[in-house]
Amino acid sequence: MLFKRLLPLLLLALLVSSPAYAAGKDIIYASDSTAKSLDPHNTSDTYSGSIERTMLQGLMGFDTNLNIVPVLAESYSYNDTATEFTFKLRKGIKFHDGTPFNAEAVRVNIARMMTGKYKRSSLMKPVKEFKVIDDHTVKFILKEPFGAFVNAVAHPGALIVSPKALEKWGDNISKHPVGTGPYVFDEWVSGSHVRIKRNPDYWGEKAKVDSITFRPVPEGGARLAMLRAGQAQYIDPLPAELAKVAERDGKIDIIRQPSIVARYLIPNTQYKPLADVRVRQAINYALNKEAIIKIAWGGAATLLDSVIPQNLQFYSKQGAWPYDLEKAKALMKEAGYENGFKVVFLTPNASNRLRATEMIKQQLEKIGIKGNIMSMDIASFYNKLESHRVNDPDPMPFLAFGGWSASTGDADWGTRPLFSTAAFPPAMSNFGFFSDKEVDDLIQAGLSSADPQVRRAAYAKLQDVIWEKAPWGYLFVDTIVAGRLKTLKGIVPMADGGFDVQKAELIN
Amino acid sequence: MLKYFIKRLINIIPVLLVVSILAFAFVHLLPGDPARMMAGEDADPATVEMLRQELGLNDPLPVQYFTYMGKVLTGDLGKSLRTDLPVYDEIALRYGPTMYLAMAGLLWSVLIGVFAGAVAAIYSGKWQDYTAMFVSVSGISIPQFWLGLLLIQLFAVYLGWLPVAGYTGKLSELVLPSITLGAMVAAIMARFTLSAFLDVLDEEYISTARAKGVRESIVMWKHAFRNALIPVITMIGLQFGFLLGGSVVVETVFAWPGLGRYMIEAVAVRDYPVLQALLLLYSFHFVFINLVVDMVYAVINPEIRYD
Amino acid sequence: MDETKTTPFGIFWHKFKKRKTAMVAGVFILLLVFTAVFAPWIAPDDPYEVDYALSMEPPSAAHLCGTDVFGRDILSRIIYGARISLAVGLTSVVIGAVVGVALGLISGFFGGFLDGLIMRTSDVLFAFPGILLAIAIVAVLGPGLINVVVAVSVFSMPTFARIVRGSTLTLKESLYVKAAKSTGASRRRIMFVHIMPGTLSGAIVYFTMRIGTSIITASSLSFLGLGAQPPTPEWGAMLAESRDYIGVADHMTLFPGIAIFLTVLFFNLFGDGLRAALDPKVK
Repeated sequence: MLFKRLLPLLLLALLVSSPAYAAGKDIIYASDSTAKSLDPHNTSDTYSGSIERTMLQGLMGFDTNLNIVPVLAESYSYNDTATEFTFKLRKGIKFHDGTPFNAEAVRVNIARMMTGKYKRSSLMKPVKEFKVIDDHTVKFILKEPFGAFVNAVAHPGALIVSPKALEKWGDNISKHPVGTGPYVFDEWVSGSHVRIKRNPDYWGEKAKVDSITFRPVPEGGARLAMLRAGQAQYIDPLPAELAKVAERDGKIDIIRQPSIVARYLIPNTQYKPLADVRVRQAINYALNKEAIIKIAWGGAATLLDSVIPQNLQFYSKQGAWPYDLEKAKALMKEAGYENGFKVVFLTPNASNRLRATEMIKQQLEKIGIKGNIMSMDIASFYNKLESHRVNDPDPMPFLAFGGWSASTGDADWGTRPLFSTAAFPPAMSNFGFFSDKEVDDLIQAGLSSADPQVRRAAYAKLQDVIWEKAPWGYLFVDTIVAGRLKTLKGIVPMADGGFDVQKAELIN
Repeated sequence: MLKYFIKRLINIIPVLLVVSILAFAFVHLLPGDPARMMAGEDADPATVEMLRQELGLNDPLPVQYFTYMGKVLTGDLGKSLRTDLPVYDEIALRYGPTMYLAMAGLLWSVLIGVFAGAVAAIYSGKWQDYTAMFVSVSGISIPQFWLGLLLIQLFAVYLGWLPVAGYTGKLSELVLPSITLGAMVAAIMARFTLSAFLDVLDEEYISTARAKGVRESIVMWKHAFRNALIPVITMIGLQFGFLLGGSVVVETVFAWPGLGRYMIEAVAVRDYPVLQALLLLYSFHFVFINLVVDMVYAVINPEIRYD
Repeated sequence: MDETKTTPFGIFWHKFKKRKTAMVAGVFILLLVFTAVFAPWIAPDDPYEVDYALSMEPPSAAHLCGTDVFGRDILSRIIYGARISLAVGLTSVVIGAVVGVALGLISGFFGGFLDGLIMRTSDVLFAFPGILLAIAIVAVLGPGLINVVVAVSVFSMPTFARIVRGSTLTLKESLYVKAAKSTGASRRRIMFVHIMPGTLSGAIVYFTMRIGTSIITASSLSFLGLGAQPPTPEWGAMLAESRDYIGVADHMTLFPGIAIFLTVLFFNLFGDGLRAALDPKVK
């Protein structure tokens, strides 16, 4: 009886829904992330930063492999000691609200960042003084040599917002971003979507689609289903575990892009057995990295073959630590730990990290390093790592599953916070308390010049020195896997985990 | 009785005050540092410290509590640490979708659940009973994420009848999530109605009514049903309370921009003001719904007295 | 009259065995307990032994339920997992039920301040999302199975209290209890002898449903890093671990899912039998 009444309702529901989802000139971009801010100076996540990059532009920027390219600046120059950086600005560009882009606009933005009140204020921390030379030339004078400064200027945290809009909206600019980019802001419904529209007056090559909607779809299976049903044209990430399903579907292109996310095992070097370099080397021989990539990570990674990933500036390839149990056992014996010792495996509880840690545990058991897994949510995980202090009389014997993405794209931020003595917690992220005089000196040397040749030499040496000392169990570098309908061209993932939609185009 | 309800209404205030203290203490006791989470995974220490200062996280806890409550009492729930948007706006934006989904899920699951439960009771021991039981147990024991993904594969990808996920206000978007959400509730309702019915059917007044020759359908619907309602209504109230909090699993699978997912996102980065506001809201839901449930008891069975 | 039908247990057994489905369920549960106890002798393989070469093999003669992502035998893991899932499910619900029923009874029977206190506390408990409680419990006790039990018990308590209070309110006003009052029965006697049995049918139904829910709750907790840490073969954790592979290796979800499904189903059927047998009104 009730069913009879419900049936028409259900039928109605089915009718109201239109079965056809033909793609117009609107693109739906489904991602596992949610937009958190559209105020570039106060944005700390890559996803929000990438959405901002569609509407706002910086003096410099990154291409997909994180090479630095000029955007709103025509060119730049610096002095020998890396303390002065001068930028020539492009002429004749207007913000979406009609305000002209000039040195004054840059000044307003830099001044805002230099107040120290925003999440990306740190990018301008090295700056002592900002000078307007003329209407189209600006100069940064730094407190001390900082060779990686151009990376800071290219960072999405240093995008330039219309000064008029900043004046009008203040910190509410987050809901009203106005820039110079190929797309203009349309709508942001927090938690639901961000929509951007084509900018018909863009100064460069104009966008080829009418609008792009960024939608958070946290569940990987649902994201792939949207792509397969044509209800999204691009998904990021495409769950690596499900890549097989996507491959069988003829409508989908799978895009793979090496990222800058390094994954590694952090041993607490304050714990006596782990302080021994031979033990840490044994760990590196005992880890079957290829198997971990294949099984725990769905194949979406490449070997970490230096302490920084390939896509970071000044990367220099090192040798490998091949999977070699015999060598590992011999080193353990040499170090006097033939019978192994107990540890605790710390890991965030995301399913792939849990799987990887489980495999690490399985593999290290073979050289006698045994222990239980302790997994927790990511905030608790960092809290745990940051709670340890140097010279702890009773250090926790942990091996932690670590990950790092140096968002400035520079070797400095890929090494200094992780290996320098000054970076012991709580200051920065040297969670294993690795400390080495030579390493500290080389890290400083890399910053003392802006000359790429000088810096490259310093970082090459640095990577060489750290590699042998095995402060980590080296694992792998994530590969970004995204999915795209074959009817869509031009959207590409970037190595920093972001994306570039400037050349997006629908073809039939 | 009116006096009793007014008293109950006034009682909500101290309850919420206690909840506010508990919520505050609880949220701050969670391990993890919001400033660290806000600043990003590769944060530099100065930014973290700047954020700690700005968020007032360096003040003693009681100071933080009173500052917070002072603002709450003037209607200011603070700003989300994560987005810098007012918490009130953020919650208001997500309340609609969650409410919409909760009502749809509850509506059909109560209709079907109560119907199935009643059928099972009336035909106790017969095949109808076993069928209703089996179906309802399935609803509880199939994990929601699995059911949701299966429904998506079938109706959205394979048949192409319905949207996969998301919420833009179309009715069609509501179908799959509300079925997934309602499956479990329908199962619980069916089980409860069944047992409540069986209890009532054994009561003397039912046999008396039957003996007096009252028509069976009237016995069932008028006498039995009405009296079986009390535990069923308790359960409806409870389930509604849970549903209003937003289902984490369903909202995640179907990319539904509601409160459940918001809470998960807030927990992940320890967004204190959001968590506190949500806890207050959830508590208010339960206190309020239970009050309504108690009122309904009184309407159905006026013999229940309140001291 | 048959001698066996006069002792309380005799009456219970007589009524219980009339429900055929409950008997079947009882046999299944006994089998499950047997499996759990003798897991090492029943399981065909070592549930912890990995073989990367056999990752995600579909069911075959060598591995009846296939292998998981690390190449472990799923059947053996399910058999060992019966120990953990049963222990966690039962213990946590028993604790939740005992405390919850007592609170509900007190609340409904005495009313007034105690009622307000207990019910508002349970409102607050309801309002605290399980995930927050779980993270907090881990923070205090550290991850581990005991904490799953603690967390799930806490989740169960307020519902038991609410259900029992609801029936207590009704029963308190019934002729039967009023009659008992008029004969001068003590409050304690009224509460435990006259009211409590009547409230139990609702509680028992919820109890049996809750065992299944607990196993599923435990799974989400395991996934959050609370409780069963890998490589423990807890059913819920197995289910959660295989979630990334739905559509690629469905057998990994299917078999733990079936184990949970059957267990929940039979506990429910068993609960029905219990309810009928314990209810004094059922002849």
